[in-house]
Amino acid sequence: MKAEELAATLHPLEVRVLEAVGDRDSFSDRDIAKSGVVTESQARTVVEWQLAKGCMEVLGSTEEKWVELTDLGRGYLEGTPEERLLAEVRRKGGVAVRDLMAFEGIDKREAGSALGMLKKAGVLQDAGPGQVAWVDGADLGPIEALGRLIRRVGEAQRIELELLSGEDVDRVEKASRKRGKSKGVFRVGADSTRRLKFTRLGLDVRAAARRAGRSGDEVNLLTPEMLADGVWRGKTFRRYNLDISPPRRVGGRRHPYREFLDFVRRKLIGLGFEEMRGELVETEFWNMDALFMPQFHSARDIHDAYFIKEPSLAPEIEEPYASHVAAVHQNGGETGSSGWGYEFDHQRSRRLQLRSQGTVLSARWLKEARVPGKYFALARCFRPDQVDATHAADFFQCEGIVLGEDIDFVTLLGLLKLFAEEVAKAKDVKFAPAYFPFTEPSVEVHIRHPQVGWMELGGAGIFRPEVAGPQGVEVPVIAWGLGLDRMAMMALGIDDIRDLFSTSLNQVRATRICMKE
Amino acid sequence: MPTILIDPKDFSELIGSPVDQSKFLEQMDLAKAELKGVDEEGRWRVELNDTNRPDLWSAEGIARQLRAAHGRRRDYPFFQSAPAAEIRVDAALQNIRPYVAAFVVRGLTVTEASLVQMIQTQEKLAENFGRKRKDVAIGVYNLQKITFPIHYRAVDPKEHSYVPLGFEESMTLAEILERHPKGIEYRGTLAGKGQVPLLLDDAGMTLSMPPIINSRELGEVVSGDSDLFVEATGTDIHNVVLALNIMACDMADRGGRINRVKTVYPFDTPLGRGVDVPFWMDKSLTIPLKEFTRLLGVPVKSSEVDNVLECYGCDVRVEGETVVVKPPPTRADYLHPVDVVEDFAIARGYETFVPRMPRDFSIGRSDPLSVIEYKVRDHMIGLGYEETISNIFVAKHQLLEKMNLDDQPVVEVSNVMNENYAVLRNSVLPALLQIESRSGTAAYPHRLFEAGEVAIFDRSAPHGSRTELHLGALVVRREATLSEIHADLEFLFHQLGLVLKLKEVEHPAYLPGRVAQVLAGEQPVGLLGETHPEVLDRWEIGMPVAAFEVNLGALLSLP
Repeated sequence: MKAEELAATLHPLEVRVLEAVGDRDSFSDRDIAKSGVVTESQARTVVEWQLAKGCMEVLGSTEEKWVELTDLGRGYLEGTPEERLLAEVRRKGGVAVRDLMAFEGIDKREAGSALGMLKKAGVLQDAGPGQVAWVDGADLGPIEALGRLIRRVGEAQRIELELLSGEDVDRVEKASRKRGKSKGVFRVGADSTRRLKFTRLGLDVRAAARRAGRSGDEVNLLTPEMLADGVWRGKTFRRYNLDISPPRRVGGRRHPYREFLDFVRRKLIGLGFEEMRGELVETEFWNMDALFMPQFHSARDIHDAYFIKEPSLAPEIEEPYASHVAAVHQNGGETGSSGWGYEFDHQRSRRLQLRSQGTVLSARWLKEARVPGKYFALARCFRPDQVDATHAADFFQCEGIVLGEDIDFVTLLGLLKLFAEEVAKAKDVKFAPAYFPFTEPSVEVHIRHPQVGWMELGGAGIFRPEVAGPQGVEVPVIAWGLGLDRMAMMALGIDDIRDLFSTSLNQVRATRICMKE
Repeated sequence: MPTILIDPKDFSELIGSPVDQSKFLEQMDLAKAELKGVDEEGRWRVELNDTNRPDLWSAEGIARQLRAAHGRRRDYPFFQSAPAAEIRVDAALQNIRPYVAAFVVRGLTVTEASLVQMIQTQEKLAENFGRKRKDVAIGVYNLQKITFPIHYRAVDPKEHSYVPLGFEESMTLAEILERHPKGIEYRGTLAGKGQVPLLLDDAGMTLSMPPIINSRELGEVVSGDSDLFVEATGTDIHNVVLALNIMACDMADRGGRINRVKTVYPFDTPLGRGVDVPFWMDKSLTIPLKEFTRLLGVPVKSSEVDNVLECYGCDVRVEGETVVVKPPPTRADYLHPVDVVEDFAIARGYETFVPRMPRDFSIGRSDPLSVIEYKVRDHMIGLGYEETISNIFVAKHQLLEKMNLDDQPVVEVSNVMNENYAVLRNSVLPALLQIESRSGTAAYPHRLFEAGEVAIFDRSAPHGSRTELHLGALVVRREATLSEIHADLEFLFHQLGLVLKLKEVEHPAYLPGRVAQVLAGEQPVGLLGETHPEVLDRWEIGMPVAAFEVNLGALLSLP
């Protein structure tokens, strides 16, 4: 990026640092902090930014020595043993060595060594057997200087050696704890400090910042206070670097599968369909018998259902539908059919089961449906299949009916073509014979998908007179169903039906719907 | 739906001209067949969609349908011939397994391929059409060894024995039911009857114990055999006869000469006391021509009906403005004129009909419950919640133990396939907690909701339960609190024009003192609170959770 652009987006702290460092060949983080324009931690942050932008580079690192007190040294903050013994002798004039050796708060060995040192320095002298006395006019300088140094280091906790005088550095050396020795007043250590310098780009950026009049006191955030007192006028606002990735957001959103179902629902309502809703638990009567699925016949065995444990039977099936349906099964009733020709079992009709097909809603709606009328349901259904990549424990079916005087086989095909074009966005449609116990004629609609080729979109047909008749419906009725799962899986880019109801939030968040309206 | 295997070479011979895969694909709609794949021996796996057309569940049957379309129908004159043998039925069978029928075939060349087809057809008819041999079962025997007439008897299972197929030693019927694999599999069809059916020839040799197993002596057919005796027994005489009509036509199509067999009953049957099989049950329908036009939406002439249905294997007689249609003897599926109209459309080809849009006007509408569902979902998303969707089927312990709740009635199914899908959820919270328990690695915070159906056990309801639409929501983060989720619910209620009130309650799934009943217009509609740590432990959730669940249907009924 050009120096001008970088200069324009410099953080105010960066501008201050660029100016404060001046024209030094090299500098450390600490040097920046010492300039006083930023704190030590801000300095480190600014250096990281500058390094990342390529405005600074690291030359290398230098050692910086420091000194601090040992535990022993901290014990001397109230006075070194020398200072304390000396003070005792000066107060009393002459003192027995025995008393000094037992001086409170100083152990015997320390007292001994302190006494030796004081004598060697010519501050104390022997004064008769077992007695020491003060030497008038003796030089107390070195003793006091050490005490002062200890207190200075103690107050600062840690001091760089380079800040101490040459004599003090010598004192530190002498009184340091050396490797392997337990005694010592000071401990000396070292930190590695990086040396930094501006790169060519950095110098260009600084020059550009100067030309642009960047002062380092640009406003970072507009505040309500600024608005209130108007100080924002005349201020410059820091420019943002738009290349930086923003933090990731977690936002509220529709579930992608629901979004797909919403789309289908919108389409159907747009095409003039009215919604049906119903109960998850149904009677076998409405789920199967009313759809002319014979109670004891292979045509029923293709269609298993889950049964309810408790209660297992509904009290009664509403009349006259129970009798009408029983009649069409037995002998066709008044529909012109021969019926299935068996003894209808009313008890079996009352068995409670989980809704196994959305068509149960159509069966229930028939008797109250408007003519002409169009109805749809997005119904959760249950079938006793082994759950695997193509079979879900429960799943949505999209089904419905169309009633009207002009309903016939060709308008059935017209409606299916409309579904293929509007709902599935298919251009090529073909129809094939099919079998459903409740429709005649029956048809399967296939569409050509650009990726997977021909696929089944759904099944439909015209309700048999044995289905519509017992409900008192005299006009022809289209019954249709769309296989949504496959369409949804393609729109969501998944190939396991169980993932439509994924229990992993990560997976749901990663799934997007790909579909044109 | 039955799936059968077809050998393309065998199939071509049945058609009378070579049929390859692409040719089959072009014509399979005529039989509502679907090519599902090809096995390692090059045989087609074909699924038959029409569960009411057992005549199509064999290579011979599909070939028969396609031959008709090519104008090469075959006549089956044996339906008119005099019976060549007899079966005599015991009166006691009326309450056990009353019906039996049979025919004789001669001059059939039983090859490996045709034997495979024959066994397949016999199996599909008995398993699917015959509902696991309960309604119909079929037996095939070597004709040479049989002495007519045949006797169909009811006997005590301990007092008769024979050597069944697959075994070396003689066993009593009771032992066969007890130990023979087929006895174990099918003995349910005879349970509780005391006596069992038995087919014997006039020399006292056992043919079989229907519908369990043939005898080894008479009931073993191998390739090279040419003369067979075929019988069927069952509980519905029409189904028994139809199954044998299909078997007989299939064998005639392979060159067999069929002879009828008369069954003599000591009791009345829907077809009389003496029934000669194969037997052409007259299923003719008389249909006004205008029925075709009305149902199909295109003008249809009588000559067209005649031509098209003849090519579908039917006999058609035109009588003025009506047609009389007689299906082939292998079919008994015409219940109503609409069935004939569909056959006409299939035979003419669905592609010959030009789709036309229905012209009627209608108004599209959502159900009122869906309207509130949509509003609520929008507001939840506006509040920053992510929508989820879950199975309604759950494991029982997810509703109870995992929610720290005592055992209570829920909507359970009796024929459980998988314990994870054994009861209907009565709340959406467990589904949300399940997602949370599996999403610990997804970036926080988690705000989840589902508006979905639940089933509430209710003995007083007509179906023993009520389906309700619930809104459940979770906030999962370090500082998830009742106050936060309370604020969200308050917002939601305000948007719906409702006044939210909370009433202190105790509930084992929530922390004491941090759970409330949600009231709308003084009516309890749900719960809100901080999920009990015990519940979080059981779901292995390591983050605090605040939740609410509200019955949306209850909101709908408020003024």
